[in-house]
Amino acid sequence: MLHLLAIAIASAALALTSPAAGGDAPLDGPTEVTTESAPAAVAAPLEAHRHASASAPPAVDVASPLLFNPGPSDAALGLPKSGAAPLDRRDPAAADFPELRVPFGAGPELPPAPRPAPRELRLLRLDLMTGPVWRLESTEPTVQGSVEFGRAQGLSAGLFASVIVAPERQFVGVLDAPVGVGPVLRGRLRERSIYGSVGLSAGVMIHRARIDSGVIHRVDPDLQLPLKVAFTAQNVGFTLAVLNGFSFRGRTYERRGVTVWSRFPYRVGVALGVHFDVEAGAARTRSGDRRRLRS
Amino acid sequence: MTRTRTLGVLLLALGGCSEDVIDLDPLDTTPVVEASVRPAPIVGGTLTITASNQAIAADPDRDVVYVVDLNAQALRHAIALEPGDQPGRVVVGADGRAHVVLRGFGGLATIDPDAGVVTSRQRLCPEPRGVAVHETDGSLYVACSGGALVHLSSAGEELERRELEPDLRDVLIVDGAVMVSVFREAAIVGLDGARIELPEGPDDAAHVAWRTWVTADGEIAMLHQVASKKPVPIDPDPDELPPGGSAYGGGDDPCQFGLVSAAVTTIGSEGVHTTTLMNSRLTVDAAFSPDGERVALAVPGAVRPEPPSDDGGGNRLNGGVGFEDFGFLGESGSTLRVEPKDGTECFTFTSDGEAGQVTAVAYDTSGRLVSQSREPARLLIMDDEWSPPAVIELGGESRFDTGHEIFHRATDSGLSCASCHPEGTDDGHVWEFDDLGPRRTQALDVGLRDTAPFHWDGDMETFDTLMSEVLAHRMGGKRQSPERADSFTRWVFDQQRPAADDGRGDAALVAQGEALFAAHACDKCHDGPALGGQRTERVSGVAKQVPTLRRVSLHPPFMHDGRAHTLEDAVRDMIDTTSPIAGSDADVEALTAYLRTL
Repeated sequence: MLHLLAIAIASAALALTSPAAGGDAPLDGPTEVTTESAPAAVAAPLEAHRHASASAPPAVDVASPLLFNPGPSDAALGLPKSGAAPLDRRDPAAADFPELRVPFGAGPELPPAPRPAPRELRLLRLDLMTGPVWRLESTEPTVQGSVEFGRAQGLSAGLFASVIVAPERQFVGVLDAPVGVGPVLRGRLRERSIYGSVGLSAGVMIHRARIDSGVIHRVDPDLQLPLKVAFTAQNVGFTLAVLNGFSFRGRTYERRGVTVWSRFPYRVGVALGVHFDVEAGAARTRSGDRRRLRS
Repeated sequence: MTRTRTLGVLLLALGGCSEDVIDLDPLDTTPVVEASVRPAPIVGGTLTITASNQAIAADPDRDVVYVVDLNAQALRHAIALEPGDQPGRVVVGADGRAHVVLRGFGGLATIDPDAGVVTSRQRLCPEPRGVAVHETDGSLYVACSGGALVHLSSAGEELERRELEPDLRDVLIVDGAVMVSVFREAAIVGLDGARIELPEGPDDAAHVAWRTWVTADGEIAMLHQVASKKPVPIDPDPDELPPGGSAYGGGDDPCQFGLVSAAVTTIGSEGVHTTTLMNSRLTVDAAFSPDGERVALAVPGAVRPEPPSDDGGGNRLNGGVGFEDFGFLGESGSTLRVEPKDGTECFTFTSDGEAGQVTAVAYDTSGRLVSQSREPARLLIMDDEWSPPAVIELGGESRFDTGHEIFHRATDSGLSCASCHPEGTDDGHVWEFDDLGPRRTQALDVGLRDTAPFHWDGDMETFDTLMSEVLAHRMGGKRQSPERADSFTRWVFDQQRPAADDGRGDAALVAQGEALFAAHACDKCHDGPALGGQRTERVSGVAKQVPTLRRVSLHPPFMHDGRAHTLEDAVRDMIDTTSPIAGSDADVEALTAYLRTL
């Protein structure tokens, strides 16, 4: 293919720069060109073509816009006379020129584009974890889902929602749901696929309880300090978290003067889960990053 | 557990956090109703049947005596008494006259039922309770709560007055012998000093004899309460709470005995036989059927007024009342209950509360069951257990009252306030409380206003605290709205009764005792208008609320743990432990004479 392109370029250059043509000769008119008048730069490909076509019979009597009139010397060079000239007009739909539809071809397979560095990679992380949570006297199962959007390594914004289900349900069936938003700072352990993060979120603790007389709700302010360690392979990984929370108000249910359900506002939980990352491109470089890059 | 909780409380304190305490006990917000004349606690047993099949029903709430012709099912007379008379027990003499004790008046009224008039009334003693007619001569015996037994001729002349012991209740004449029941102790004393005490079980003891009568077979029958002697939890762990019950028991299983149960004991030639009722509530009157097979029981509970029905009335309810309900006692605990005489099951025939607030029962000469309701005032006549009863409205102003209702309404434990404070006083029982030790039930009729803090340990700063802790938490009652709690408090404070003094004591001895009261520095702690009740003092190393001495002689046993069975014992105890000077027997006699006037 390349050699055809070289021939075409050389032919065009030859035709345009020929003194006989004076540059004004019509491109489709028969023109006598001698090899002696061809510039040296063009001579080389022609020479190469001549060698390549030495064994092929020369094409004859085919007029082509840029095709010079083949003389006996040309025939000796073995130039194609069948009209398959590089710049010949052709039908794009012709099936016998598939390689010409992509002028430059597929080429060799390119190496994958380099992934942005974690500092510059913007991603959306979905975390789903479960584990026990302690509120001093009680151990309860919790499920927490969180969404973090920001840098893979650096600052993110986080949103979490948890459900804590109190197992004892004889007198009151309680479901606590802390929900909060806040920043998450994530760092990487050297160059490994292990990340650690610390967050601080503020939100509310929604307390729902089913009692004999119906369902009651309470809403209290809530803070959570999640500490996470995550191992990520590609876009999926495991997360181990210590979830500290504080909901500002203890709660006690009494029946006949006897405490039948009580929780302190402090809680700490250990949760294990999986996370999924969705890359969202490179983060915009901040001024601090630019300074670091320049240095 | 405690350490962890302490740590938690400390963390809460450090964090400046509050605690949200949610009480799961139901809250009663029913509007307050206070009767124009606030009714006194139920005394029960105010109905009797004459030989001519007339019912004579005393209404202590309205100060009226009704005469009802049971054959004609018609009200013949509503005999108005003096306000505050509080008519109680009724007895009919051989001459057809009815004699009614007037608790409030402190005497006896004689009524001609046919004419519907009061033929005489006379003052006898503070709080007469029981009355009986001696068949041989038609003379009357009247028992007074202060301990006097007054013998009157058929003409009303006082023949004799005996001082037996405090807390007399019903007069019995068995084979010509006069005997009197003792209310709190559920005992029977004779004029000759004989004393019949009901046998105690390993876990319970008989007390509070609501009604004692002589059966057709000549036996003595007694409706009384049975109180537990087991340790009573006051702060149980959640696991120790019975499902649906409270610290004082009760719950979803009705087939059980409560801390206080109703019981019927018969005493006869075949010995003493006691039947304790499972799933029982406050029961204030009983009657045996003529065949002796069944016992009808008045379980007043509390009945709230219902809006008038649209069915046009008439004198027979359309199936709303009767014994079509075979099951457990309802929430109000107000019912007419009929049980086999010699044994009960946890299922019972009940009248589902529409019989009203039943306070008295009797069988008429035809064998029909007659019950009296105090609110609304009505009589029910039942031919049998399955037919709708005939209803005879007695009329009169409503005496429904929120304070009265709360006092008598059954709680989840089966107890009502009146269970341990019968007639608005006390049951005389010494309870063994976990973590507290023995505590005698405190009396309510001594005037509780301005005696806070309450309870022997003074740990109930206000009456609201006491209601919340005892009525709701321990007993399993409803919490009360502030308005209802205020109404109840006022009602309880209004239950102060007159002094025990009948004016017949030795005035000189009483004066000497009053002087000794000061000499022994008793008035140092028993001070103020209530002679105590306003402070907590340490005696023998133990801090206790100083009790008021009003009506003290009427409330044996004495001291917080009931260790003094007589007033004399209590005086000696106090002199030994608190007086700066020694006390002689003469001092004790004088002091007790003085205390009996308070």
